[in-house]
Amino acid sequence: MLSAVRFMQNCSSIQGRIHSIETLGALDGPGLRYIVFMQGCGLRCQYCHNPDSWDSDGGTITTVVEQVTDILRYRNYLSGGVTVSGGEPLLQPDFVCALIRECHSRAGLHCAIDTSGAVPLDSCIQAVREADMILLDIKAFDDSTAKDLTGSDTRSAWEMLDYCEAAAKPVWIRHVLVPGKTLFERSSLGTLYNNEKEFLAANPLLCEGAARLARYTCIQRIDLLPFHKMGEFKWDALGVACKLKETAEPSDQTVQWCRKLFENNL
Amino acid sequence: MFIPGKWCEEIHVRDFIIRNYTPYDGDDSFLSPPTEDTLLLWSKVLSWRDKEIAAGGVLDIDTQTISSITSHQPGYIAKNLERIVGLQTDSPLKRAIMPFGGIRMVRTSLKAYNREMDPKVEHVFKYRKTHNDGVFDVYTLEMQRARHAGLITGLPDSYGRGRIIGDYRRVPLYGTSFLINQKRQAKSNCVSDDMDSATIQQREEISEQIKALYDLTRMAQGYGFDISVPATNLQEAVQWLYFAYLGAVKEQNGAAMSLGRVSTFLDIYAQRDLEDGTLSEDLVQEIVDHFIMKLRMVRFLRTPEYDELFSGDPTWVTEAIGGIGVDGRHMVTRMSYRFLHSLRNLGPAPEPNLTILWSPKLPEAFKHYCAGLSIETSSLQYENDDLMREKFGDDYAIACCVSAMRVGKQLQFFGARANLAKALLYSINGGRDEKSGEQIGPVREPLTGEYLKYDQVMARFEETCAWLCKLYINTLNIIHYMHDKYCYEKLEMALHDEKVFRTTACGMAGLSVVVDSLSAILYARVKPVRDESGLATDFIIEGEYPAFGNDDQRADRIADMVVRSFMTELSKHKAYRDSKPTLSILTITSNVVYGKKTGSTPDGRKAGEPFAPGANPMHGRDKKGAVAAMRSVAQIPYDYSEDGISYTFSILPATLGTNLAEQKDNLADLMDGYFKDSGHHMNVNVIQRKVLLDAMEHPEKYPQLTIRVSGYAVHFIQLTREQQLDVVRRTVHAKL
Repeated sequence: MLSAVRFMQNCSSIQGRIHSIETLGALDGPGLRYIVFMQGCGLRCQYCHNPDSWDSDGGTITTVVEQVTDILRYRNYLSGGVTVSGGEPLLQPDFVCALIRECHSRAGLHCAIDTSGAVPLDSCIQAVREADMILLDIKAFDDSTAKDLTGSDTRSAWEMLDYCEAAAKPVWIRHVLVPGKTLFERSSLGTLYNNEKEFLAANPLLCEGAARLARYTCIQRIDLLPFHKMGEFKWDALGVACKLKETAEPSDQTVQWCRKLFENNL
Repeated sequence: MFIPGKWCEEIHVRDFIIRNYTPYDGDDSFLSPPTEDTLLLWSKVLSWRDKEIAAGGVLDIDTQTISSITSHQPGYIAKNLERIVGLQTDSPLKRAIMPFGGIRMVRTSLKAYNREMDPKVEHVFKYRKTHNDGVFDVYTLEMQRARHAGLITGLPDSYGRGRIIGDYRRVPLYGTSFLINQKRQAKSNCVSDDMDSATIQQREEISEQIKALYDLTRMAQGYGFDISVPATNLQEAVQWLYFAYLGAVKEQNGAAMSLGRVSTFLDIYAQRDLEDGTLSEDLVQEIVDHFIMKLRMVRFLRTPEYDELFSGDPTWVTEAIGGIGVDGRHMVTRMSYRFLHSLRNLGPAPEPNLTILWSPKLPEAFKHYCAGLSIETSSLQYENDDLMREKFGDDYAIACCVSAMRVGKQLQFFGARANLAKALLYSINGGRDEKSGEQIGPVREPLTGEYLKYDQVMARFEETCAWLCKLYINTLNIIHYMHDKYCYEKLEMALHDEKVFRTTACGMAGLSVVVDSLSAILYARVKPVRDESGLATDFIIEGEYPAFGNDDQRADRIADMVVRSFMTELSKHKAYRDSKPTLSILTITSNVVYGKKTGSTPDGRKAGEPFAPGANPMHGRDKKGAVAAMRSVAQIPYDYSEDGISYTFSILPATLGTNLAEQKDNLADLMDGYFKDSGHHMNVNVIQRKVLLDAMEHPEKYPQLTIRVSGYAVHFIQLTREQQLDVVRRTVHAKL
């Protein structure tokens, strides 16, 4: 009993580094959710919207109790629950785990972790276990593209997916469609493919990826996110060179074909 | 047969509803598309409307006939197609003159549309006094000054006050004979030992009411119907009810002529006809659609100044839908759906002003249906049923935008609003008007010193509000005394109990301007810029201050305090006919005009710039997303603003979710959150700014584009350019 109390006290005083919060979002997990963006990330994604969340020494330090108190102010709105995002939340696994426990015990809130999976599973297994859902970002369907795009391979992401499958933990997959990186929408002549068959033939990795994901029953949904340039100003502000400056946003048609490919396989 | 009860012995519409209605938990799949006759009739209405737009907004005016319940011969659109008949005049969209509110207003309106007053009508008003004449005979100099300076504005002293809802359901349920008998009895019981002025007034009013019921019976006879007896089926019930409403809008050009809460009442008749097999669903919908068409065609003749205040030709035919009964059953019926479905069958429209009485306990299917309609049409408003049921029971309706009242048992004396931002400036300027320099308030030394000091400003502001509240209530007392005397709503009141509960509904404009100003004075430094006469005409703000609308207690507490203290001041004064003073935070579209009349304010708003509408945070200052803004507004205490707190909310569709199903879920959840947080009212617009901009350039492409402004909806293209710009500049949340 005493040890349980002490554990709770310890939990409450755990500190974390927060990049920012969004009091309500409708796009990161089911329903309306409070979103905590954690500070610090090991990846260096070329399309990152929040490069200001990379630095592990940045952000604002807060305790679990303070954070949960703020979450509970919005309780009436949280039809979905809470999503811990980032940055990479699983780089602060103790904080995330304690935060989710508090949300569960104090308000029964559904909690999701939005992660790239680029963290060894054994370092964050407690937090993953505690979460009700994982939003997993598969950066690319082959390691060389992933390394090029983010600086890291996707091995641990697939490990996490395997774990979720075994534990029957619901997963939403996210994948960003970056022309010239994760998808190829132009022929050697530089023109957009004008039929679906040609497009699919030119994107074997995407097709394989779709088939691979199809084997997981824990996946409830796949969100394909077209690359966009809304975060570009942040790169400029940080004085970091953005390698995708010349990359165009994918065409609507391409995005539609991709969505069909993944839906058919789900 | 209907289940009998108290309602059979005496007038008790609620009892009839509660005993007989059938809650509906299903979805919208039972609804019918428009019938061929509906489509044909609607196309005729639209072509009349096109003609009206082409004619510059007013199609035709009957300048010779003083409108009354029986003034005009029956009018039709296409008699063989119309399931529900009756027009205000003898021809569609032709406007009538209703001079008893003020003959001057009629003269000005006619002049604005290049028409002249008929000499015979002129002649009548040589001998007959109007409400407007009465008021100005009595106004004090102080009142006239405050009115002229725009400190108390929009007062119903030259036009019909409106905001009174007849219980139009009584006519189909009882027939006029029964109602007349009840009134006769009431009159014979209305005697006292001393024949004092209250008793004399009451007896005279009941006599007027009885005459109105006879007139109404005669008007219906003209259309070939005998409404002296109860309606026997849905078609008759809707027709009888519409006649009652039509009588009211022929007799009164009220600022808001609301319908009440009729859909669930009518569902009882529809349900019976469907069970008897005398009607099928498509025919039920047809009757509803034809009724709604008529409500969309209500027109009043108004002055350009009035239009500037309340833009888009609104009539506030407000219909309250849904809610939860005191017995715990929800009050959503198939008819609730059918009324809303008219937005699809006939396309979006501002009228009737469809108002959802929301509770998180409403059936999920219905909540999602409403959310979907909001996303599609931006035509609905939502009000907190849990909050209102506690005060008004389960048979209340909404007058105008946000004013709840028990149907047939309660009325309000509409009091427009006081310009609180101006009152704040008077506090700084020693009672002088910041635009004209004239002394309007009591003479005080203006505040001096390089920076404004919060305690000094607050002390003065409280003093100014105390003076203003007294003046305001006294002004309203005069207005409503005269309205009762010269422009009494005899038909609407015939459809009320004799003992009614009355409120004097005051209002305030510019709440967020005042809150931000006080916050700036307290948390930043505000330096007045004074002209040579010492008048503060502009303000320089040094530093940052927390603005209202960001869920920041520092600002939100100020809002709470301002509302409480203003209401407390109002309550100190005796209001006409022992009515209870109440307060609303609602501007309708007048926030633009009030802003125009008000100098620069200490929050950084420049002279002439619009206020935010209703209780909204100032445009662009609510920076923390939709929910933070909603939480700030929801904190305004309804107990101290019982006449309603209007919040107009606009959001991008994509912010609500990635697909329509998600957007519906999330919008419904968002409203659950707002109303659980005690928010009172919310206009929901799901729009993209670029569509509005395009509509400003190409109005012909958007004939039915409807948006919610403060408390009502309008066709966007009918707003003045200034108001369109105001709407475009409002915060459209891209973030929840």
